[in-house]
Amino acid sequence: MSDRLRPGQIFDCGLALAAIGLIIVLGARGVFGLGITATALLLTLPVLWAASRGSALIGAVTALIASVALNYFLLPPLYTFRIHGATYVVTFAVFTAVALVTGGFAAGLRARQDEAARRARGSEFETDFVAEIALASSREDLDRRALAMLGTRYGDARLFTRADLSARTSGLAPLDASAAIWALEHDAVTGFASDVMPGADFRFVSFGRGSQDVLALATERLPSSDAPFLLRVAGHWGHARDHLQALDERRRREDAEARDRTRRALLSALGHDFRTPLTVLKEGLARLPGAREAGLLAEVERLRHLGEDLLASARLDAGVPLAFEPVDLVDTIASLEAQAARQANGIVLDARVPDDLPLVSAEPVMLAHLLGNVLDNALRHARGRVEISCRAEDDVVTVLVSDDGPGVPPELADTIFDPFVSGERAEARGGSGLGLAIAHDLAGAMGGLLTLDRPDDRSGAVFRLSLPVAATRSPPE
Amino acid sequence: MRRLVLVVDDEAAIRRLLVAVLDRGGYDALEAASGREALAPARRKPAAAIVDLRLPDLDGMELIPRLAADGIPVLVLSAELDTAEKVAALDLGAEDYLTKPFDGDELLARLRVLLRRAGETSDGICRHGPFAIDAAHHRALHDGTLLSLTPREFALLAALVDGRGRVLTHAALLERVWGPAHRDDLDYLRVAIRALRRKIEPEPSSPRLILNEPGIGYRLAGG
Repeated sequence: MSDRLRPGQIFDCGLALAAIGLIIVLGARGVFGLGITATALLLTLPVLWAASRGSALIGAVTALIASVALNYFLLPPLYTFRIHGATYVVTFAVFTAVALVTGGFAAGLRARQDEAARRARGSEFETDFVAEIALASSREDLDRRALAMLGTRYGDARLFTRADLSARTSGLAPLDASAAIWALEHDAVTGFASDVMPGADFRFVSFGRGSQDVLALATERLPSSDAPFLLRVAGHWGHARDHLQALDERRRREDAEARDRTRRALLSALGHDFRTPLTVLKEGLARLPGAREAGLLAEVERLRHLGEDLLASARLDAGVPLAFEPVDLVDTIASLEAQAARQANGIVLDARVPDDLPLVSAEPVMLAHLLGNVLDNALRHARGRVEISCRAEDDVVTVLVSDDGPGVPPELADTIFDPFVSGERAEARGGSGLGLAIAHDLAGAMGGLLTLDRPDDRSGAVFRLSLPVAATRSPPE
Repeated sequence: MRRLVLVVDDEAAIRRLLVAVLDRGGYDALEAASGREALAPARRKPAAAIVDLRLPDLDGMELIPRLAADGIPVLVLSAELDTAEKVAALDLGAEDYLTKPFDGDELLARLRVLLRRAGETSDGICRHGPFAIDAAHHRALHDGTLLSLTPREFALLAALVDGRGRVLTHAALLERVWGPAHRDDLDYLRVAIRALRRKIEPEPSSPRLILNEPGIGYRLAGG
């Protein structure tokens, strides 16, 4: 573009040629007593002028025309192109050299001015671009605004996704598609008039590492020196995308947190509305003569148990996140022993925890509820003895709860963890049919598993709870 | 003279229940249906306060530090199994908590622990149950026998004895024994409690002395 003549330069050339003509006429006529040397000196002026306004080439052409005209009209022999004597040859050579050097300097200066002006325009565009994309409210809006701005500057701007490119559904010519993939994978500018696959129709600009799409620009008005500028523009765009994505993620997180808070508040209100009257009822009955003997307290306890199961179930359904911590099963099982002491009518609970059992990762209140339900079931079905034992294997701790009752009938084994499935006389024994189902769900929610062992001889039921081991460090002394 | 206990709960039924239980335990009750009432100047300063965390006007959480600042030990009532609320209340200065539905006798036992804490012995030796901690000489005694403890174990047992049967949160114990930077390193505490139990519990896998409150902390039994 800068090599072509601009209209202003053509005018300047014409002016220089006219000046050369005038000086030749004045010199030939000897007006003002001009000699050949003075005329030659005067002729350097239009040559300098042309060279400084145009390029070195224009300067050289003007110098040639001037020296040819000097030679033809003024140097003897007149009206020939021949030259006599070294003086004139030297004059001519100096003359041409001055024109070339001046022209070269001027052209360099002009090129730098042009570059600076283009940069200024580019940086103005960059500023406008950044301002425009800052207005975007979503990823789609951002891409639309950015493409519109680049389209105005470069004619045609599009986006191609990595997926489309690898599936060859982008509609691009093979060379262009290769250039696009190269740009994506090497975080570079490729395609038309760049260093990589310059024969492509489009120029491709990457959005930075890990981007899933690539910017394509049509070839018109796209100087090769724009590559760093394009990478900067694409960088701004990429940052805006990251920013919007971060905003979006934060909004989603805040929404989820607000939902959690609401659920927690509802569950808390529900728990309060259930446990408060129960407290009054329980304590009131405890003072009432004969209430214990009539089994009223046991009924209240049964009601409490059912309510706690339902609340736990509601909590699981609400998907409220669990607070895991390292739990020592010694503590959990100690609380079970207290429960058994209250509940068991002469049934012996034999709980054994090895000294070096690893800590498990669990929500401690839920874990106590879970094992409480399993133990409750065992105590209701046992004849005289319930055993709890623990052992560790690799990254899993297993808790076995076994009783010496009639065992689980084979036809119930598959559905034992479904809600409202109870053993034969469970109803009479105070089972709600919810306990094991909730224990099973609680185990799952804590990353564990509650299963029923199937011994061949049906000598009692054995429930097996496996829990993940918690990461444990030795405390510093 | 019977000691006075402030009862703060917006539910009249729970207040009546608490008044009856307190009467049975030999205490006078001062009832307050709201946080404002609880803070109103009373003729007699209560020896302890029982506060429900759900109050209509003032959050029970706001009431705790104000009562604690007046030197009134606070027992918190919570209807939530979720431990976060109780831990927050204990962090704010509540001395202990009970979850509904609670037992009247249990409430009285907790109250006794709370009130005993107020009157300490002054011979420089801290006692609770079978334990005696002589902080000045870094000695811990179990039924009069000198225990051989590491410095961390000593600090842990001293903290528990100092609690005199009230619950100490995991974070509070960690902070006291390992420093504030280790408030969340619960695995340290679990491992150290195990080591300590091996030295003091007759049956370490079935602890009777150092009791755990799931998700909250530890307390020393009885006394």
